[in-house]
Amino acid sequence: MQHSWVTNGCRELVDLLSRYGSVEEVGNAYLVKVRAEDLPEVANELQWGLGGYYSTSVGADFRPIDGTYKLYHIFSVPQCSRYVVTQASLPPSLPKAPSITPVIPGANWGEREVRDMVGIEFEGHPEPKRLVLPHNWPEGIHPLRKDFPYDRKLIIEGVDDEVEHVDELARKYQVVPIGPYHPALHEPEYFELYVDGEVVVEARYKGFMVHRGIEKVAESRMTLNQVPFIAERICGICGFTHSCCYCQAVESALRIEVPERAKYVRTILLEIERIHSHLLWMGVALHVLGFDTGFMAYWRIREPVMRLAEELTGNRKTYGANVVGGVRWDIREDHVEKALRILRRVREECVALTEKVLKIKEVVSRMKGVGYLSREDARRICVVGPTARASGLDIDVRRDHPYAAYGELDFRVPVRDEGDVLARFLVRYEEVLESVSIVEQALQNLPKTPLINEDYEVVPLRIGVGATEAPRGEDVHLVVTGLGNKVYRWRPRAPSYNNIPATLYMLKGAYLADAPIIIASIDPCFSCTDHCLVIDVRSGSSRFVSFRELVRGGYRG
Amino acid sequence: MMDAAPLLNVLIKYWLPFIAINVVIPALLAPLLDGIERRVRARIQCRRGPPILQTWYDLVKLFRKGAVTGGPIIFRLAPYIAFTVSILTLSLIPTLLNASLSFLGDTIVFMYLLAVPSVIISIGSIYTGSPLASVGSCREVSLWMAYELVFALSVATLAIDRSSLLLRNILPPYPPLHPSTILAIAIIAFLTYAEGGRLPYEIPEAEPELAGGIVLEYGGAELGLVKYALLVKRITLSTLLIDLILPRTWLTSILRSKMWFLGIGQVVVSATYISLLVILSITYSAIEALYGRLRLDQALSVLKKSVIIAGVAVLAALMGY
Repeated sequence: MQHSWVTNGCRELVDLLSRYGSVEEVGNAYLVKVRAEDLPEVANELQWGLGGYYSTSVGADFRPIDGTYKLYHIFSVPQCSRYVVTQASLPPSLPKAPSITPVIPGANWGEREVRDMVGIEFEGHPEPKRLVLPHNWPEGIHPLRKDFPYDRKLIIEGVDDEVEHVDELARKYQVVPIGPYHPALHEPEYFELYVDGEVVVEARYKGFMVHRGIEKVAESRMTLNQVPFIAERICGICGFTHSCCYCQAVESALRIEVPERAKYVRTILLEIERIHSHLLWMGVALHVLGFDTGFMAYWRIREPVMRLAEELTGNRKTYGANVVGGVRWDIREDHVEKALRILRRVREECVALTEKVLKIKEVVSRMKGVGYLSREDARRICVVGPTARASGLDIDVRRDHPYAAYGELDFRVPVRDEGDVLARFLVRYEEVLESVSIVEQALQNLPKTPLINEDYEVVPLRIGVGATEAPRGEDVHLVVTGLGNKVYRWRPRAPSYNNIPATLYMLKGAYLADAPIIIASIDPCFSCTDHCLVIDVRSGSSRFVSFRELVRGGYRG
Repeated sequence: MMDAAPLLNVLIKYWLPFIAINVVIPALLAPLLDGIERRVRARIQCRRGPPILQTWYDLVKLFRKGAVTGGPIIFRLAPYIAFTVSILTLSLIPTLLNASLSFLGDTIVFMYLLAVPSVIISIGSIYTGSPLASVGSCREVSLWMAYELVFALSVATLAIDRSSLLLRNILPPYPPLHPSTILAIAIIAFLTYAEGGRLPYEIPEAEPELAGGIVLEYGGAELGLVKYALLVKRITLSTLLIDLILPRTWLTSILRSKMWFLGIGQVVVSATYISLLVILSITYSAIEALYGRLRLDQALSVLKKSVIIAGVAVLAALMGY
């Protein structure tokens, strides 16, 4: 789905970028080398001037190469079908750059994670606090620097059993903890709600509790073609999109042509993954609303999809099909017929069930008007995926930055303006139907080419950006190839990373009873995102409270 | 001391069999009914479902763990009080036998006793200071007050219609059957469903929101007792509804006149009672499977409407309709 105005938009974009530094085209991205002091201005131009979307920030320790730190900001510019990567080199003695968070609030987490992991300071950041690293992590040690060995075990004093706690709010309101272990969350995560009666007046979030350091492991001890397999293990629900995204980043960096058939196989598996993920979510959402019959029914519909994935790849999940340059499994002729049959059934059953569910007044009334996120807020926090599309932002990587076989297939991107939980439910429902249609088209048009292109050379220090539309939204990976068949820097950014901050906006003023469905409505994938702490409080008014005290609830009122 | 022998005699001859049949058997049946409900719900949800005895297995498991709860004394005592009171409540209305403990003003006592388990567990949970349990307790109390109001109004309607405060006069479905009586019975039928803590009114526990809410802090035998108390409360409520529609004495007398065996009437009544319990359970669980959980404000607005209807019923009864 190419737009006719792509070339014009691109010229404008290139002109804009050339004002700040030299522009290089890498696959679907423009790499522009800018001076650090220009960053807020470039960010402002790209996000608000040109109508792009901030994706993420990446820090890299290039001291062994050229004695600098590199800071990348990644933007998606949908009308040009291009990503823009701004690269700023920072001196090793005092790596610092002006923060772009005042311009784009959505950059808050990205910059803080860079600060934690690589040690680049951001001047003018409204919240210069730790995000990923625990409170008791020693100062001045940054795990993603190259002089920090991946197998070094730090002896850390004390236990990080503390959460940020806002005194003045706690005095006035009841504090209701959701997490770190809570039936509505399924993963360790901590939301602290300040509740007046049954109404949430303020919300805080702390995550990144099970950070696994996948980036460090990949950079330190894995080869280029092993990383797809660890990338797939970032998430237990949408892992394939991560391995796909990584492979695309490497393919883009090394200019590898992927055979047509491989692109189609990837598309089919990506969409099967989306179908199962959305059906899973729709079930969980109903479970959170207490409607377990709907939960079971959606999961029953989902089961044949899991079995189909198992038939196609050998695994219900974590397909392990992607390698750089193509895929490892083919789709056999006899699979096509069977898959089409299953998909037809999934579509029929999903339509019938959803129509029934939407007729149940009690269920719909719990979703309608609940967890509202305005278009403006969605844009400022840079949310992605169904969360963005339910708030009226018409973005979808599959259409805006065609990858795999999406450019050759016909599909619609559902967008709704209501901005509530029901809109997110309906967007996902419509996407299931679109995905079924995409898989059907792809299965019927499978090109007959080889599956994999292994004819490539690993050139060191090439940059590539990969982007896919995961079930939860835009998934972005930045790869810098390394010496000796390795990755020098790999940074995956899962969609929930951009979506979780939005829950705090949705929670304000909501009923406590609606909090779980609001948190669930972005389909949060904490393990993908892991480790964070969002808080917009003046630091002076915070104190720390131990979890033990919290469990006892000793500070009520 | 001279009086002790006849008293003991009365106790052994009448009270022990009465308690054994009328209270213990229904109390033992309660978890079985829950087992049936779980099974029915599972079938509706395309699941196989647990064995009918599963609720009993769960309770036995919890009881075997012994008392593991710490905390304030009121919190620890609450389950025992709740369970005792719910058993006591059950003894006030006819279950398997047509008879019940009956005394002047037992209607009022019954209404109070029915509320005690909710109140005592709410108070106990608030004392723990756990935020989730506190929120659950607040919800329980809000709902309970609404239920009680509706319940009091409906019982008042029946009391006015029958001009009595004795349960044995109020309950049986004999003339005069005014429109207000039928309205009051309909409201009580709704209450027996809602007050049993079934979806969409299972709001104080709300597992996905409050992680169990009001019962969150309990464990082991105490948790078992709290759960058992709820099951006994459910069977009490179902029994109340059955008593309102099952013409016991008519059934007994009609059979007594036809049959030579005197006990047959009572046997048929008991069998009808149990089958009605099972039918109610199946109906309730089927309804429950079709609902999600309401938010407290939504539930209260439904209850507000039923208060108005119950108020209308009282007025109608006062005017003799």
